[in-house]
Amino acid sequence: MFEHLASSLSGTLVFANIVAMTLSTAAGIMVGALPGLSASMGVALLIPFTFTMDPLTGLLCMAGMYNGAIYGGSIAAILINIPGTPGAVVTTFDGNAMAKKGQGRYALETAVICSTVGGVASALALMFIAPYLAALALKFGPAEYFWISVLGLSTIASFLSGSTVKGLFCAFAGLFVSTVGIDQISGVFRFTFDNMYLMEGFPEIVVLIGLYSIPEVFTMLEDVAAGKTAAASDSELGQTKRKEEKRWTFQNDFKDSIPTWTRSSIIGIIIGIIPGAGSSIAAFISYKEAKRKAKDPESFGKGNVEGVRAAETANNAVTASAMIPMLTFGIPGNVVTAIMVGGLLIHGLHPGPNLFVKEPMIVFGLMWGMLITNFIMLALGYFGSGIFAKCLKIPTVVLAASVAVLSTVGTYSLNNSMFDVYSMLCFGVIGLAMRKMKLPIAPAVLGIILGPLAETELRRALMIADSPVEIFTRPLSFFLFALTLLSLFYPVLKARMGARGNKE
Amino acid sequence: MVQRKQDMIFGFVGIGAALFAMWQSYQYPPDSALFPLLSAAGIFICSLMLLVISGKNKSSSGDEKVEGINIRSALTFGLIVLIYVFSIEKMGFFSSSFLFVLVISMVWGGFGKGVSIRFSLIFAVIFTILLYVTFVKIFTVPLPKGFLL
Repeated sequence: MFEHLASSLSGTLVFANIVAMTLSTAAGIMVGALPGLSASMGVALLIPFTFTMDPLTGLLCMAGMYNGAIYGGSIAAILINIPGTPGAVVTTFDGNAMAKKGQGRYALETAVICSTVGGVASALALMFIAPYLAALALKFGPAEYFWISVLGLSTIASFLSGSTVKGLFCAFAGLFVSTVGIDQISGVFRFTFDNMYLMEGFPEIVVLIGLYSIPEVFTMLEDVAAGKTAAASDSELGQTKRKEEKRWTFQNDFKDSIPTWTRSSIIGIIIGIIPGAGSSIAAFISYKEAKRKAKDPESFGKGNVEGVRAAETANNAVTASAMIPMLTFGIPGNVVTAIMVGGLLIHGLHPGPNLFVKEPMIVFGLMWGMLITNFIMLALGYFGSGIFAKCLKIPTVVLAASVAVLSTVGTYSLNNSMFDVYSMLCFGVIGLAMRKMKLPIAPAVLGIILGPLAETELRRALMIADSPVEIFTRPLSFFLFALTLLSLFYPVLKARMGARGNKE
Repeated sequence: MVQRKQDMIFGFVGIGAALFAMWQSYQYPPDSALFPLLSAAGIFICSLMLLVISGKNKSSSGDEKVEGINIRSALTFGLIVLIYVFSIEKMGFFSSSFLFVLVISMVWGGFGKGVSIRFSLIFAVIFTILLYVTFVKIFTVPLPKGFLL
């Protein structure tokens, strides 16, 4: 498989792809830097733009957007103490304190260098782990695939939601929505109510744009109405221009950073592979570890550069490793990769081990893209953080209006259908209701994405099996089933153990 | 509204939706009905559990107030979005998008108090031109044309 890795590099490094990666990484940094806009929304809005592109170019754009947005979150975190993305929450602890001490530029440089190190380590892990896992996954049968998709859903429902029951409810609702339209196996129309527009079901991207963009637009406008906007002042942005302050230097910072880079990269890569855990969890664990290992733990939270190093290395180390389960098993590790599955599907690519066999140039090209966009991000972030910081001055209200229009045009351009726009708005209202009712959107999204795979594999497994019980009793199926149960009951067990610990 | 009450309403709605989905699923051949039935059964069980949990949970966490919605903002936004979406095919995508951006930034920008009308106008013009160049010239996407552009 590694001969494809070498040969796909030349296909990746063509002029159009380099331009696409640079523009999308810049757009990603901008999206990440703006509080309210997330990496998942950025990728969802980008997909319609990639529709007319070559599949690899489109995927490289998504890679740039993803990497750029996760790093971009640190800009707002450092300068205005508001995390641009959830993964940058931990960066606010020390990053903003450094900015207040007049070390804003040093913090921004540390953030982009550490993000690059974490991202590169993660991309290398993707390149060297994924081919072996894909070869292993080729030996799986339908029952194993069914259980892997159920495991992916159950872990996200358990770990990403405050309540497992609500998480599972949303996951089942997502699975149900995925059954609308023509049954791919028997040709029966399900839940279409004689509406010809529903015969193909709801396109995944339409649902994703609705669930992620419209609630975000409304929340931004609600914040404007309540006077809670995050516009930066000139003095805060001036941090990026100061010449006399402390800067990142190879002699002073490189050697000190190596232990944190190593530790935080490993944490980020492992967390990225686990479905349901995301960049914010990786950053928290990494920060705690850095504090535990530090000689002066009391200085954390007061502007210790180690805090920024740990958080930024770990949150970007999640990006490529989260693609390992997506590319090898077809199971997305987090929301962004779930949306990327939607991006792959509109190009006619079905993620999973067979993609390594059928389209190796695209799979390995994407891996190169995850690596190369880190270096583009480094150049853009190091030399252009001042320009990206200026985005923080854009009034929230025009940002909200722009996102609403982009959501509309993006949805329309998928099938040139106004019905898709109406569907997107309906899912937007559902997404808003879910947000207000504290129902997690991620399990629903994963249910919609994984539904067709889970259903097809379950039915294939039942057709092959002599008895339905067989889908539980095959050794690997049983192991995956046990893991699913463990992931569902883990929050209950943890709460009980916590309660027992408190009593003692 | 408190969290517990909201969860109970949600549980009842979930049970109703799940029963309807199950009834619909029974009308399909068994093979096609299996997965929708399993999903609907999952929704039913989770809704039932939510009802039981919210019934038992009379502690302070259950009586927490849930995040409300700004009704005025919601109605205004809903109305503007509906007018925008329905005007796309009549007026054309670009003219209705231009007006949408302008109206949103004027209404929520305090009619010149928060965001100046001049800025709103310039932004709406530049944004519409960028949309035109990106979607029509670069991606050649056919967008709805009405009596305007």
